[in-house]
Amino acid sequence: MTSPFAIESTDLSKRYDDEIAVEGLDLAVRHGSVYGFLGPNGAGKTTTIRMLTTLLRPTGGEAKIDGVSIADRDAVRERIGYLPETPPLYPELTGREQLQYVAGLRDLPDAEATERIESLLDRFDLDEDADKRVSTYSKGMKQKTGIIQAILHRPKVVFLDEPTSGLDPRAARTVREVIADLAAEDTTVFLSTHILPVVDELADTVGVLFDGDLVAEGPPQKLKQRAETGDERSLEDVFLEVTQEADLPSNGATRTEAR
Amino acid sequence: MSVGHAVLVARMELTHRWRKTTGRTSQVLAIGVGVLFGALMVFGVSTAAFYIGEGIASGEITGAVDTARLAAAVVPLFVTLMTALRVVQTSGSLTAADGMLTTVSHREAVGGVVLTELAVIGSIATLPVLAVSGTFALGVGDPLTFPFVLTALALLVLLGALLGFAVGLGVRNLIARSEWLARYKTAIGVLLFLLYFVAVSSAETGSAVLPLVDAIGASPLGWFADLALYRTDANAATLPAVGAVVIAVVAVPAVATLASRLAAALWYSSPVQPEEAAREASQMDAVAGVPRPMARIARKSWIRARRGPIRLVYVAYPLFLLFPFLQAAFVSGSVPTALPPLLVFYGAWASGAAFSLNPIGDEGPVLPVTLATPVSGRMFVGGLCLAGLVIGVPVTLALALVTGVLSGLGELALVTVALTAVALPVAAAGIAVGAGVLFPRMEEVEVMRGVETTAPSLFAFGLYSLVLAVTGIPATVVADPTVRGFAVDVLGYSESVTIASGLAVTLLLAGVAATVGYTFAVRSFDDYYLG
Ligand SMILES: Nc1ncnc2c1ncn2[C@@H]1O[C@H](COP(=O)(O)OP(=O)(O)O)[C@@H](O)[C@H]1O
Ligand SMILES: [Mg+2]
Repeated sequence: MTSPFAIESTDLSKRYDDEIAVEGLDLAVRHGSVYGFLGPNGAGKTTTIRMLTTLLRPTGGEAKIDGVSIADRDAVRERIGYLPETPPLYPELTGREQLQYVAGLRDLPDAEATERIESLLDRFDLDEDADKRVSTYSKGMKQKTGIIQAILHRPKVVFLDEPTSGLDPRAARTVREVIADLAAEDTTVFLSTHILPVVDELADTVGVLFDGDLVAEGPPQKLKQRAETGDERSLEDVFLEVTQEADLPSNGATRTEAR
Repeated sequence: MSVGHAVLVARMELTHRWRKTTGRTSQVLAIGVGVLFGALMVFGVSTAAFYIGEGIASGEITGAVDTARLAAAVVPLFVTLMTALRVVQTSGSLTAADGMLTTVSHREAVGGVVLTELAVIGSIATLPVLAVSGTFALGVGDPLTFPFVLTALALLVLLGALLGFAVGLGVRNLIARSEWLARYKTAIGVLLFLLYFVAVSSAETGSAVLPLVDAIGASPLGWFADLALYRTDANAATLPAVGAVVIAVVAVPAVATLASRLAAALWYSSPVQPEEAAREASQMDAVAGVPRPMARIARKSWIRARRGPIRLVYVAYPLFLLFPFLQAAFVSGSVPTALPPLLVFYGAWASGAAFSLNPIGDEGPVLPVTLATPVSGRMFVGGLCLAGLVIGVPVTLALALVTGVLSGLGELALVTVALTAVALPVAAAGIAVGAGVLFPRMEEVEVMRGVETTAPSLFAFGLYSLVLAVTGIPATVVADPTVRGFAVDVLGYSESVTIASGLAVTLLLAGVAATVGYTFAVRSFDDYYLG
């Protein structure tokens, strides 16, 4: 188990009936790095994350999390934290109860759980509202509670599906700082988003998914300079270019180039 | 105010509701059944209208105006009540209110909502109103009767709808302004529903409502009867008939304005939010002797039930079946021997149904996280069973013992009932998780009018109730003296042997059912994938 990669996949694929959601995905994400998973809506980001978190059975290929095959669900679940697209909260519980609940599911010792929960609530500016019911929370507060439950057990690999959606700028900055801290503590962060600046600032590597295909991958800096001329482009330009295949004549030139 | 905007708002709202409704098989089925019954009713009422018309024309029926005054009271009363109910529950607001209120004026928006409601009511009322007016005119044998009856009926429905709208919005305003009402509105709603239920099934209600109908019939609303029968009944007077039209011309815009004011007051007020300020101490405590994940899952179920009891309203439904027995016990002052075993059945059924009948679906948006933690199927399923049993077993046992003693069950029968009161809930928990995992229900459904939550699927209910019944019946029948006597006669064993064997069969079945259901649920959870 001396793999240098926290997340590895080979030829990972998922098809629903006759629709291909993810096709032949090869990933290699180093320990302690931040991987930004970009792609327009419907590209297959959520499907990929669900396969890597053992929630979906791939229809092809395989993947390992921290050296453990995703077929070994229990071992993988010990190692990961996960924030789904929809905040995973019961409306009737208070924020604190929700976090104690998830800590309990993971069988975290009470003292350790309490210490972690309190410090994270404080960090995310939620301590004031932690005893109010989730049903009274704003979208941002729900999202923050969802992020805390994903990291409170100090997982080795964290999957965040659209972590900054619905957050105000201040909360979004907290999330960025927390992600940076996680990486500094050698936690691997795999985050999907279609908000480019988040990735531009944080990610060590960016992968652009389009129609289930990884159409571009590399460090943000390199991606931005990939054009023939060597000019620096914005990540947005890159994103738009590699994901507009459908609008172009079918020579596939853009795609090959971007890879 | 632009009428065009109001029409546009109404069209969008109608399209939205149509899609939402037709997108669900259950709703489409409900509408189909509704249309079928509606058609039968329209047929019946129109036929009656025809013969009444004939009777009036031939002089067989006299004093038709007086009777029609009562109808003139009942029609708008009914429409008002129905519309008010709809407005209070769901439809008094716009689907995308925030966006809408910033683009059109509130008058246009409320115009749109009123038009929407009128369109809905119109689509329901047009056919019966036309049919009744038409067949009545046919019966009378005078074509000119038709426009009079039609006008009167249409105006009454329109008035009723607008009035109902205003009343409904008035109630919503009260709810939006009173913290007390806002906090207890579901409880009050359930209470009113129960009162309604009792009122409908009680014989005295009729005599209480009649004076009210008489009073309304004697009011100017009764004038619409004169309008309707103007050409038919010699007793119908000109002045009231004209008066009815005047009332409509004055009241329709007046009530519409009132509704518009109330809507503005509602939409631009910031409703009190009872939960906003409330802080609640965490109830996620440990449960003695129970592993941590299991304890938290049970606690979670209890907290959710306590703070959102409406989710569990279905657990109370079978009580309606028990109602006659309870009533009999109260009236006669003696407990029937059938009551203890029935209570055992209900107690067992409820303790399984409350928390365990939809293990996967109840997780809602939390499911992906539950599945992404290492929590085992044994912990998860066990926690849900625990949640029901900790409450269900003691309550069922207490009910069984108290009613058993009061009903004078013999010692042996009492022991049987007591043992069943423990065994059956345990079996219920196991059967429930099994059936619930086999038939999960993910999407929200309407458990009461206007209240949507994830309730267990009907298949889960059916399978669960059936298996539970089969499990419990052997011990139950031998507890009842009459049935036992029969069994003793037929089987030829002594009374105690009969009781003991009934109990043994139930205990055996309970053990098997609980084990099979529980094991199946645990395995299914451990192997569960989202797709
Ligand atoms: N349960 C499902 N059944 C059928 N198709 C699905 C299902 N879930 C996702 N898809 C399809 O798979 C594709 C990828 O979806 P998703 O992974 O949610 O994309 P993203 O997260 O990038 O927006 C989409 O075309 C979507 O319609
Ligand atoms: Mg997605």
